[in-house]
Amino acid sequence: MSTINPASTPNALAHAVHGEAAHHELSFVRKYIFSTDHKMIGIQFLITTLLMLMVGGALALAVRWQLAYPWKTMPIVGELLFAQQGGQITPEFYTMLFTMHATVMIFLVVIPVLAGAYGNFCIPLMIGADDMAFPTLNMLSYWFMWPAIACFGTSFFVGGGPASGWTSYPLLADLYEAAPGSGWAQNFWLLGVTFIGFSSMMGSINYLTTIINMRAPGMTLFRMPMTIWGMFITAILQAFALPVLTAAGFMQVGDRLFGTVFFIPSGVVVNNAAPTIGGGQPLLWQHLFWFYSHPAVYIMLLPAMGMVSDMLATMCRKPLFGYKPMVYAMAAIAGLGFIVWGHHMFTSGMNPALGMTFMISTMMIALPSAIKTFNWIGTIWGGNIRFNTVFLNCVAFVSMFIVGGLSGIFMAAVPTDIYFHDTYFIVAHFHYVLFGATLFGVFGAIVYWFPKMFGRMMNEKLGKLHFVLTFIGFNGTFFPMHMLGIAGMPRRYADPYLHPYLEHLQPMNLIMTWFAILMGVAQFVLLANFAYSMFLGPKCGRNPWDANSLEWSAPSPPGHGNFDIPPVIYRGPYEFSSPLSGDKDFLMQTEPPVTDNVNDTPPEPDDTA
Amino acid sequence: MRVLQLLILTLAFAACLPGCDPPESTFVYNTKTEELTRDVGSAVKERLDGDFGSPKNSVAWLRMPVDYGTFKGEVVEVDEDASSAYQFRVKFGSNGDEETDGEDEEDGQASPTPGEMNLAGLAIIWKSGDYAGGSQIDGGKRDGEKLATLQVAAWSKDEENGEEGLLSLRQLMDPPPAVGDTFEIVGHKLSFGRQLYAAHCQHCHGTSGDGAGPTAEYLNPRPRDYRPGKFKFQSTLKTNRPTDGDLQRIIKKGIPGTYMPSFLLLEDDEMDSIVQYVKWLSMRGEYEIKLVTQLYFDYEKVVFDEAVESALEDGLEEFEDGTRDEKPTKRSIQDELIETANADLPDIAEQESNVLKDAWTKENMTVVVPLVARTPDTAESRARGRVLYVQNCAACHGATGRGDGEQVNAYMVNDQTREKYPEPGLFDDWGQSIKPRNLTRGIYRGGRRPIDLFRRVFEGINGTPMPPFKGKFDNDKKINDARTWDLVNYIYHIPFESRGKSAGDSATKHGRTAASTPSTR
Amino acid sequence: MRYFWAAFFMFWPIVAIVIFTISPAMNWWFPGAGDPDSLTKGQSMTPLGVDIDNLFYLILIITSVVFVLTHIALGYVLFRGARDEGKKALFSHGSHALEVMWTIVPTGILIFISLYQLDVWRKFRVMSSFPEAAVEAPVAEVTARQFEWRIRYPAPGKKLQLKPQPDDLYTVNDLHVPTNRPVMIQLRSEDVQHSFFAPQLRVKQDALPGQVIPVWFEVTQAGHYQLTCAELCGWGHYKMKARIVAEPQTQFGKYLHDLRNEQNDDGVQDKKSGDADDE
Repeated sequence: MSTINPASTPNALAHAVHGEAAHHELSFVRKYIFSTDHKMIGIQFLITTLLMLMVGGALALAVRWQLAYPWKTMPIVGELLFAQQGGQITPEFYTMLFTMHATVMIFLVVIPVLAGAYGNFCIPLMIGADDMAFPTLNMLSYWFMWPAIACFGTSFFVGGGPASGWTSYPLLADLYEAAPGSGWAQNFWLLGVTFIGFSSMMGSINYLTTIINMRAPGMTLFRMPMTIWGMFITAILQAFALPVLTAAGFMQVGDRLFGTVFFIPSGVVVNNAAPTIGGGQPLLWQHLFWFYSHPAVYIMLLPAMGMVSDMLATMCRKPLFGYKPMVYAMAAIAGLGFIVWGHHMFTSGMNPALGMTFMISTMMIALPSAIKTFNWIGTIWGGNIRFNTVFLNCVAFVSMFIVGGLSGIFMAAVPTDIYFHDTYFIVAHFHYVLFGATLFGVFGAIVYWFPKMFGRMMNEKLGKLHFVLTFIGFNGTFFPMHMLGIAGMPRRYADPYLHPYLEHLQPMNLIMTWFAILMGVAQFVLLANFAYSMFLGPKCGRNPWDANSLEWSAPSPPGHGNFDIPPVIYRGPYEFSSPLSGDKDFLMQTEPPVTDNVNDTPPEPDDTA
Repeated sequence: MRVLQLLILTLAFAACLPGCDPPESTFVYNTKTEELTRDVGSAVKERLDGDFGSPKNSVAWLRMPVDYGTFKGEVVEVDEDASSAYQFRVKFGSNGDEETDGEDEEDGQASPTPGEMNLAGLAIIWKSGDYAGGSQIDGGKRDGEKLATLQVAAWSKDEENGEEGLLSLRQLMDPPPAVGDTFEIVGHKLSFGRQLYAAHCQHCHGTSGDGAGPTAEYLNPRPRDYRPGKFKFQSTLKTNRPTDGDLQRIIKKGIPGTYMPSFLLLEDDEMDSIVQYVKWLSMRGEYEIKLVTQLYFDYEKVVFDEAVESALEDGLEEFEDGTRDEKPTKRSIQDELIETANADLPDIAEQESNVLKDAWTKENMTVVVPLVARTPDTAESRARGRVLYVQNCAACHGATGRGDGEQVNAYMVNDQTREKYPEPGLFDDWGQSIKPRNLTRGIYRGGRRPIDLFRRVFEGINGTPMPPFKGKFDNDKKINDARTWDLVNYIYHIPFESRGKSAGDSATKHGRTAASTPSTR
Repeated sequence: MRYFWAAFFMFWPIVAIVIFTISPAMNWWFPGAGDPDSLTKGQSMTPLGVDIDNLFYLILIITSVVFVLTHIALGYVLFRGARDEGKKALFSHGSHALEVMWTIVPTGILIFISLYQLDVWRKFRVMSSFPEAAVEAPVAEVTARQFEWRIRYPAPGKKLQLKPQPDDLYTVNDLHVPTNRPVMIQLRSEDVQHSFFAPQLRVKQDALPGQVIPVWFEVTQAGHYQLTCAELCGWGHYKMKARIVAEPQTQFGKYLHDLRNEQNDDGVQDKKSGDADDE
């Protein structure tokens, strides 16, 4: 702070035009493909994940189709692959469908779109760095996603495809005979998970280093926007949890290929193969898997929470309500996230005493989530709201997160979890959190940072159309799943109506499927909007949203090295509608204090613990 | 505007997805059928499709001893104005017409009513009135062609009275049916069975019952191929077909040790319909095999072409001799030969369908019933059984019952082709490698009742190298049966015999599941 | 338009609440609710299940209240934001009092829920608190395999042994238990992981290969109940459809007796004993 040289401080940005910093020209390949520029990598991640979103969505629709019209002709897929059966798919194909849906959505959409796309794009820009700490590593982290995509893609076509669910529980996933046809497909799947693990790992190391070491002058930890906090904590989670999954994956590969018996007990006979010799314990996998995969849930949520906090504050023209409690809550979620994995295993047969402890820690993790929710509502309270696509998506995030959070309590309570475990109640719950919350947050973020990425605004009308259709389709699809769960419909059933107590739910599933199709169609609107606005959208200046944080002081799109004027930070990111800001209702982080004698650091919420 | 256009396009795209014509599920023809010369092959296929139809449009060939399911009804009201009607009011159930053919209804129960059932597509046979007798679709001869194609289009039952309702046909009837006409609607079990088969069985056993559904390749043992008409676990003689009860029992209890699960909770009518459909599929498959076998010798593509060539040479010689006045062409000879085949086909079909009919007729099946009750399970009995076991069974099932007798390593001769199999071990009639049962595990695929084991030993297992042992143990039938019981008693004891040594986990001796070698093929 | 968007976010919670309210009547609730012909009518048929249901309703009430309150708050701030167009937003960085309040109140509620339910969990899972009568004489051993439930009863009058006995009785997909007394089953798996799920009885327990897991429950009303698999076990996962038949002790005894006769059927004696061959 003391080193600020007034001469170099950026001027008020009002006069700033889209100045491209003049740098040496790069070849097409270096610029757009093997780029080491964090912005290009972020955009690469974003476009890749949007494409993968369509793949995952198509898989979901196929799953929904089977649930709506069991054993009827499945359009296109069934007609092509099962023509002789009249387009009727097979149960193992259905198993493959939902396995791959989850895999694609989790590993290739949600995690990379948050950490990959927005982590990459936002972190250097928002902390005032000219790039990531390790640009080449960054490039590698993107390019390690492609072997993963290749592996997952291959696994579609080898045998019957991976068919053990994305949780890949042994022994189903461990013995070739148990999930017939998944033979090499499962191996490729594991390899794919490993690659994506490497990719995330490189990313997280990069983010940690960058955030810790490369903040611009004046950017103290508590002046960082929530997005950066979200990315920071996520990176910590990834760095600590991921190795466990990778190790577990290798153990499973060992069991499958090299004759180890980590997860294989003795005397198991599957598909008339010789009985196994083992001494392994299938529960071990569950512990290892969930030790990563529960924190992974927060990896899939925290960055979105951060981004939504930023977007809400900007669109409400109001400081974030309770900045520090928000940060602490996020840290608490991350911390507690490491000791709640057992709540996925309440009915698994692990020691019941463990069930009690995990239940209490799980209940406690609801607390920071609640605090965050209340703070978001508090942020909207009294705001001068701009009802644009970004804001709508953010409110949807909050609203859906409330539902997803509350339904989580049913599962956190062990006795009710006895009933709800592995029913559609769970499916409803995690779709409300992962889709309802995270993806709406991402849809908001796409619109919000689009001008910074491409220098053009997205179409507002199409954006709202996409939002409304998605919102209606989403709730129509997933809300009734709570009812299915209460009615006791287990997940992953190719034909639930075989069971008399579920027969009457078929019409309901049919309606849900049509809502899902509506939602699927709506995503084409997003793609169209994205593609159209990328080339033909109206051009914008540096700060189209009148936001405070650092990235908006850079040109849109920022040139190589990001900032044409080296940024210096004087205050926190949420000084909206400050009495100090004069006619404007925002006060950028880079804007120097008006007078020397006014203490222009943000008035701390006097008391936050 | 561009926005709107785009939206309409995407919506239209989505809307056309379910609207496209779904492909029909089809029966696969036998490889041998495909090897017939083209014209003969298609004649066989045509006949097959005529007699049995396709999965979506199954034909209830009344000649076959299958309970296709019949609803008897009576016309109660016809719209007077219409000169030709396709919709009229009918009543089901209680009409006591005596025209039962005696083959399907054995007792005087009130005949069933269709209720809410979807009757669309079922054949309707007129029993009295203008159309009576004209619609016999029995015997492969479709007299009265116009009426044999009479099909139900829809049936809606009255709200208050379930026996009455409106029936519509797919075709116009001229003159319209008269009040009081009686008719039968045939095949509801077949169509219901087909639906259930599609949901429960098809992905393993295949649409045509060839045991080659998409899931089949991953299963060990492979799902049963019904087409040769061989069923492993039956209560009847080895050469007989299984009874309905046998098939039901397998479906209900499943086959432990295989991927055939238990479908215990199917409703009775569902069970019945599935069994009838499976029988029907089996008959269709066997009928095809039999037809083709008769023609294969002469009309297999290569043979046929050679025959044509040689006939052509002969013919040309004759032509030159002057014994014939027309120069034979290849085409004319082909036509001539195929005409012979086509002329023969109805007779062959008639003959083979009679064979099939007889085979599946219940009266022609003999259920195996032991002549004496089970010998009490004593140490002496088991000791006698042990002796028999060592003499007769150990070669395959091994001295300790682990299924590791020396035959497992011997090269066997294929019964059908008289050639040695390329690999050692036992093979079943479907050409798949098969292992003698490991009797120490206490898993009995054909059922674990004493009578089940007795029948397995007595009659052997159809389609497998397990031979019948009836009469092998003693010339006196009663004593033979008593000895068989001794053997059964011993077999029951095998899992408990080995326990002292390896304490149940026979596992450890065999090496763990070869995780690196998918043993699915 | 601003008011429209504010209303938009209030519309769906109302629909959600309406759907939740009508669900029991529409049979979108616990199995059998809203179906007059059903045996269970949405009730649990085990005492422990009743506890679970009560807990469910308690949590449902708490979460509904929270849901309604948060959405009212959300609606309020949205409408206020819509109304205050053009006004400068409130400049506030938070409120200590509020933060403390909305930390402490949820903590209290969550701790209450956690402690309140421990007892049900203990009764359900902790072996030492299983009813003694049930532990002493397990009714049957249920072995899950791809894709069916194989059940082994001890011969009438005998105790279930860990290893199969020559006189054990076997069925498949058909578990009979006596009513009105706690019964315990030994759950195992022959191949992969399965889960023993009886929705009407609110019982769920995974079957782990290589492990025997005791499960107890007490059915209070005779009848047929569903038994399904709730853990992905392969392509035929959905096919593991079985039933639990609860019947009074005498009938249960008779059932075992009949089962023994059927099991010992030698095709000669006792023709009545249910040879299905000619049915």
